[in-house]
Amino acid sequence: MLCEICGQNIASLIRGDSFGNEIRVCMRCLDKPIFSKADLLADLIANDFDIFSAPMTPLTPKPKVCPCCGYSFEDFREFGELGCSECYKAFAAELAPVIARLKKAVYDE
Amino acid sequence: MNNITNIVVSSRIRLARNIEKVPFAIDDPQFFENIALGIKQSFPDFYSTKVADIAPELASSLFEQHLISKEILAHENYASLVANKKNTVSIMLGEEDHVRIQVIKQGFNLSEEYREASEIAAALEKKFKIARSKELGYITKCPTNLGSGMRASIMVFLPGLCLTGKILSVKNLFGELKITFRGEKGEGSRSDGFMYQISNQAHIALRPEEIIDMVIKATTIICEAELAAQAELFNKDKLVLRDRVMKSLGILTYAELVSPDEAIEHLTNLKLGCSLNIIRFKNNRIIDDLIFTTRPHTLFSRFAKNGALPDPNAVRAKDIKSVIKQNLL
Repeated sequence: MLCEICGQNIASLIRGDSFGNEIRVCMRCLDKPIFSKADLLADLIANDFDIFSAPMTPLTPKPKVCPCCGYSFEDFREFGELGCSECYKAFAAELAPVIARLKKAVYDE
Repeated sequence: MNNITNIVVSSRIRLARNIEKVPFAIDDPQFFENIALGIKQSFPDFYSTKVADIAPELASSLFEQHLISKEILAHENYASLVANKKNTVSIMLGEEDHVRIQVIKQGFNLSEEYREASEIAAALEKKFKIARSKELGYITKCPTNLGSGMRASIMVFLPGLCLTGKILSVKNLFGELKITFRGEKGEGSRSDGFMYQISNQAHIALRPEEIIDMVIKATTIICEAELAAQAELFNKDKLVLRDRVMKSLGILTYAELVSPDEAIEHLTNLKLGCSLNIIRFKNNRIIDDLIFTTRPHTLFSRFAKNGALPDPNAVRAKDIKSVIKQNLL
């Protein structure tokens, strides 16, 4: 069977795509970004892109980052800390429940 | 009140501040040296140093005295320290937040310490653009420090609660107060010399004065519980308790070698003896001093010559002996 990414070399390895499906690939394509048919379809539906002009970009949405320090809200989820003073403005909406809980914590058990 | 002063060993105020729009994790030594310079312009008596330039034994001694934290030692490649010579003020630059101003003194002095720390914070704010917002107060790396950016802590000596086994239930005494209560080194073991720390938790919506009131209230509750526990111990078996104190006095007055563990054990017994009026010194604070100044690294930084202290247990014994003889009434 030929590699499902390049379609040129013999597929000798198995890896997963972003939907958890198994695909067969060659050694050269083992670490290449994948754009499976299913991925492409999902992207088109989600973004309403013109199939002929859509750039070949990764399909997972870019995480929102602080314009000042580049920190993401995912980083906060992981470490419980922020990157700079501007993060509090950049992630104001996401942090609102955290701040509300902290304000409450002063008074309630 | 006299008895409460025997229980409260030291108090500490810490204010966290950050420079606007600069990553909290900045690791540029020049950035922190500039802040140090700015602070020293307002407080010429303070000295400053790069953390990397502090000799390892002195760094450990400053850590033992709670003047610097483990975190700033881990950031020695870029962090700086500004402090006063009396070791009551330390300003850590490059800790978790850009600036952590700390004022620590013996006894129960939170309001005075807050005033001193605020003066330093105000001087800093005149020179640097400090991050703060109307809604969140002072901006900190960890949201739990937002608001005044303040932590107020009291170190208390609780032999009565420890020896009667009531220490475990002491947390219930706080009711709804948001207070952290833990052993000096975190675990509250016997080797800590019955030392515990009381400090405030999340404080985003509270003014500094309210936080101080909250910690004072919690400390008063603890002190009352401790005094009751001491009275219970004393009434239960006066002779055993007197014997415990007088044996420690004898050992510390005559021993030629005193290890760090022996020092803690016997000095805390003397402190208990002071609290129960079994023994008296010209100033009971000398025992608190000895507890801190005879710890290994602090002893080393006080007495080492040419980077060496050959027989620390003998030096410790001599130091304690001389202070006791000069001050015992």
